[in-house]
Amino acid sequence: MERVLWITVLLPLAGAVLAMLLGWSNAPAARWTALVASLTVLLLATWILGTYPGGEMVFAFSSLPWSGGPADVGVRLSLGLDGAGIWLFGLSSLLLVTAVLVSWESIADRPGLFYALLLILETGLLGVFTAQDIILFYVFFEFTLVPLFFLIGMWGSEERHWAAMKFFIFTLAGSVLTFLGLLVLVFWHARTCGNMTFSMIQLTADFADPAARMPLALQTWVFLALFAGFAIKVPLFPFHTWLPLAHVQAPTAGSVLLAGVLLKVGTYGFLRFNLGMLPEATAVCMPWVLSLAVVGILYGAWVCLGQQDIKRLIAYSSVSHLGYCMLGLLAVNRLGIQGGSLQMINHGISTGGLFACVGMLYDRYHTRRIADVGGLARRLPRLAFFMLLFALSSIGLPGLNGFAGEFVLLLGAFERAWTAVPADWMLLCRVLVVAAVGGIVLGAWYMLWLVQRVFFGPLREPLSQQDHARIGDLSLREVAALAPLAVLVVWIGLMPSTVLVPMSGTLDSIADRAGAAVAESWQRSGEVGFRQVAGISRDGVSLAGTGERRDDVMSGK
Amino acid sequence: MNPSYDVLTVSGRTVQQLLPEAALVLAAVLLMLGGAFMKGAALCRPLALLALALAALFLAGQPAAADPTAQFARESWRVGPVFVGDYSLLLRWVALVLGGFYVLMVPPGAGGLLAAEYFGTLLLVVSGTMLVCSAGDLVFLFLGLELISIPTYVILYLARTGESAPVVDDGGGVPVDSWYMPGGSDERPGSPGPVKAARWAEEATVKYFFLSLLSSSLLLYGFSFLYGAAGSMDLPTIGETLVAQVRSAGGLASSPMLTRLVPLGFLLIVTGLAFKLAAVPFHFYAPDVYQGTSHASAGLLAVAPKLAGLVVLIRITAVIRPATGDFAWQVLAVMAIVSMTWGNVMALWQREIRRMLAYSSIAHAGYLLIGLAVACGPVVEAGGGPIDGFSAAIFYMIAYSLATLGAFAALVHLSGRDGDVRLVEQLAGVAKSAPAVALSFAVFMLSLTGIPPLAGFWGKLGLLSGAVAVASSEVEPSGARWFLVLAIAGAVNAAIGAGYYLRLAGVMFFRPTAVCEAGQRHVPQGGHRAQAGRSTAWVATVAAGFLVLSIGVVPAPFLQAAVRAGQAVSRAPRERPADIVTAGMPIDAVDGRARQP
Repeated sequence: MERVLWITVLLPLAGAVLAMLLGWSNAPAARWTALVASLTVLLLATWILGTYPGGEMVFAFSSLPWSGGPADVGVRLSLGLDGAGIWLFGLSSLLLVTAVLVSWESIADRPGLFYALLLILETGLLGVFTAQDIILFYVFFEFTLVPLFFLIGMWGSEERHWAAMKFFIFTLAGSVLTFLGLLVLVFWHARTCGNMTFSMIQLTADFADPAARMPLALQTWVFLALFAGFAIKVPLFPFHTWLPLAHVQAPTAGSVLLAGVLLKVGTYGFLRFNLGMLPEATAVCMPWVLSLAVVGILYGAWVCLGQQDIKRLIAYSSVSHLGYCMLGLLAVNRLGIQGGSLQMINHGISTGGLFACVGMLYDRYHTRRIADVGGLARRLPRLAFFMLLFALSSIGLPGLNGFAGEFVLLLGAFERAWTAVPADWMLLCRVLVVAAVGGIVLGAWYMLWLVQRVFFGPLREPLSQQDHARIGDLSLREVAALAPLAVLVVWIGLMPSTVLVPMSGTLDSIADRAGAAVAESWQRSGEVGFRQVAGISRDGVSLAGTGERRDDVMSGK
Repeated sequence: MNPSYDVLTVSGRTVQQLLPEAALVLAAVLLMLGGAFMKGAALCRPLALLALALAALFLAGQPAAADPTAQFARESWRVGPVFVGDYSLLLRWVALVLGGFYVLMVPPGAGGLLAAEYFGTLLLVVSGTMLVCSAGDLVFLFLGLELISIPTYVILYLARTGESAPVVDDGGGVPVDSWYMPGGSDERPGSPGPVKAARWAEEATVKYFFLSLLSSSLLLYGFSFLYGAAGSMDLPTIGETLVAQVRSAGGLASSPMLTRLVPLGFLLIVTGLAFKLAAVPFHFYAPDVYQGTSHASAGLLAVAPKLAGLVVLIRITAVIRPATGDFAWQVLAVMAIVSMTWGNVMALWQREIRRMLAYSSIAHAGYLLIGLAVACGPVVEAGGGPIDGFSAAIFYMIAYSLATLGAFAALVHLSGRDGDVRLVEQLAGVAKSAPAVALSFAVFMLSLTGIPPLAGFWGKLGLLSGAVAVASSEVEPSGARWFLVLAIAGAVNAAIGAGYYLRLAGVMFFRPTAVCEAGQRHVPQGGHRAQAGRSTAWVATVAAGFLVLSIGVVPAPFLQAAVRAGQAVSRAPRERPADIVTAGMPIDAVDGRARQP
């Protein structure tokens, strides 16, 4: 299986070279190459997911020397899958097919380069969720910027240059600090444990021992350094300004991948490094980060209500939804982390689908302004169906996937706020969590209002369009792009355990370890009036896990 | 008996060790002599390449190269004043390979009627850089540095005269009229006419000349302090003496007076070398000089002196760091932070590509100094870090040189095609008209930014991890904090640098061809020979792009070579004085048998 994983990650690169050579000016060759490559990757990824055994072990792990050097000192090419990355890995391979299909006819300029960049981006995404070496993770983390920079800058809309630039520099500015934070983790580990390693498995395992972890002050600094990169990527509230611009200007495929997967790199990194390796600092920063997350939820939703541009509205809704993911993760208990991780997948599916729908609308009317269109459900019933489905999923309608994720993560957040916070912060946390529930109402408001304005009411089409008769409903290709996402929306909504169970092994062990450390650090710091309902917050309640406490650490081969 | 006198005796072995350099000097002399009789300049480039290949052959054939023994790796293997070891060997190879790039990227018609002299002086520069790499003696080091500087003055001037002098077509030796040349009139915005260009070249040369003299004198003054303290010109002897003095006095503060002046000497040496490195405080010349000269010479200037300056600085720092205390890393750290920030911030506002790349060169000098500061830092072996400061700086230099030379080669190629490309806007649309060049250029820019997986990323990883390693080791907090600041400054500067590197790459890919069309009306200079010349610059661009990418993907051999070199140069003098005694003794045989005194 190790080999299959390597092939899956590297196959898109081969596809990219082929697409570039065959399709430099030949659009059909380029897109067929890209489609075949991405479908093959999807098949391989499905195969890997099908054989994933669950649990805490890293699956399909393999490691090769990269930077050389004596024995194990040095950067290694280590790939492997575990619960935290497995669905994001799958989601990346699925959304790439969508991205290729939605670009099918809209990309005429330099098609070879376009599809090559898409496939290169896929390698970056698959790599970032499978990397088990801290530097390799960073390599993929930063490498994803490059193809997206060119995708936005070359095939975007009017303000694409500025959007590409701002996107790249914002993300880079944060991620260089993340880089320093990762290096400090490695060197601290080398100092306390005596052996120098870049292996994430080893680091996670060794940092499970509180004695190996850094003193609180240093840990907080490292937390902030890592946070700088991840918070910009997520994006958390005050760092989100690059996102609407990049989303609006990007070509449809870029928006789908950006919203669908790239933002999750931030939450994934947060889960892996901040929660997994710096739990005491998490305890200190929790109220602050929680506040930012909830402010982001409300602010994002509020701004959505005033948007004139469909794409911009969905971009801001991402800010709001990613706030929920962070809220779940920051609860640092089993329910919260499982819910937050599930919500990452859900958001990828529904927002990816929404962006694809908007792209299809744009292909037909060449406008993204809400005011220009109306009543389109009559003319484009299939598009209206998909759009409504994804919108409902994004609102969190029970029975669809969004509900499952939001429900679980809010349960986790309530559990945290009502059972296990120091007295000083109790009121703040409770207010925040309740306010987050209020965000759902705002979410329903702006989403339904958007759908109502665009698809219902009297038919209104842009005046500039001469022959409306030629505008038809979704073609088979477009349905093929959206249908898998729609199926997943319903499937996960009805049976969330399909997603939750494989993840739970890794996630629960992160949650238990981090949760215990958070509780201990609060108790140690002598918080007066610290209340803890015995048995619940430490062991947590797991929706899908086996329920028993796992003390043994995650270990690889 | 003072071993330094023995060391200076030159034997046949010395000459054998210096065969590659000698071959280059000889070829340069022959080229210059033959140039007087040659009609046209078509043969110069192949002959120069041939000379470089011959030098490479000699370098590869040296007996030491095939002998990776422990002694060899310690850089203590020496013949007369020439060091033979992993450090000198790796850097001589680097200098030689970069020499190939210099020769390839010279535009056709450069130097005009003095083309033979142009290529001859290029070979001299390469030979000077290689000499510096193997010099183990203060006088020899200085000679090597001057062998780089003096030809550079000539090249800086020749670069622009070529454009105003009539170019001889190899078809029948018919001189092309000067009105026919690109830039023949002043009507195109941003492009100087031939007279103006020549004047700019003069100005650049004069600026460079005087500042170079000043820096050389500072360097010599610094050397004199070392000689005063140790009573020897020989580097290992200086190291041995300083260590002995500091140790017997029980610390730098209670050492003899002259030894206590070594930090001052170090300051003078660093300041003098800052000119070569284009680091603050001697960076002021770079933007003006790069702008005034041609693309090819600016590329040479951005790489050759910097490489030589780094080599000398590492060599001297490795020897005298025991006698400089905390002063050395403090000076280097401040210079690093100021250079990086100044260079990157100033580059953001530039419209002129060469000026922008000049500021980029200043910024990268700052990065190199991070490595040196780490190497002089409180913990030498950096807490078991993966790569020490010297090695990181060496690797970074390789990555920087390839990317920068590649970028300038791309500019040479584009200028040959579109007329003088001077402004950032003039790069618009290159992605469409010259995809391979544009892709390579994007690779260079991303590598200079430090984006993985390109060569520049590993360079930054080495430098920053060195600084972070010192910062998170058990040194006293003030020292650790300094290195943390250094690491943060390096990281933040990577993001600032992205601002202008991306602009350059973005203009090529995002903008439609607009300004290029204005350039198209110029007839390519020099007829079909110009085509050949452009293709060599094209070859240099694509080759550099390929190298930067492949070093990034397969960094292990290059990183390991840099680590061996860094360890070789920093071995012994500080930790194992016993080795210095052997090192000081001339070993006058290939089998490493010490000559009896």
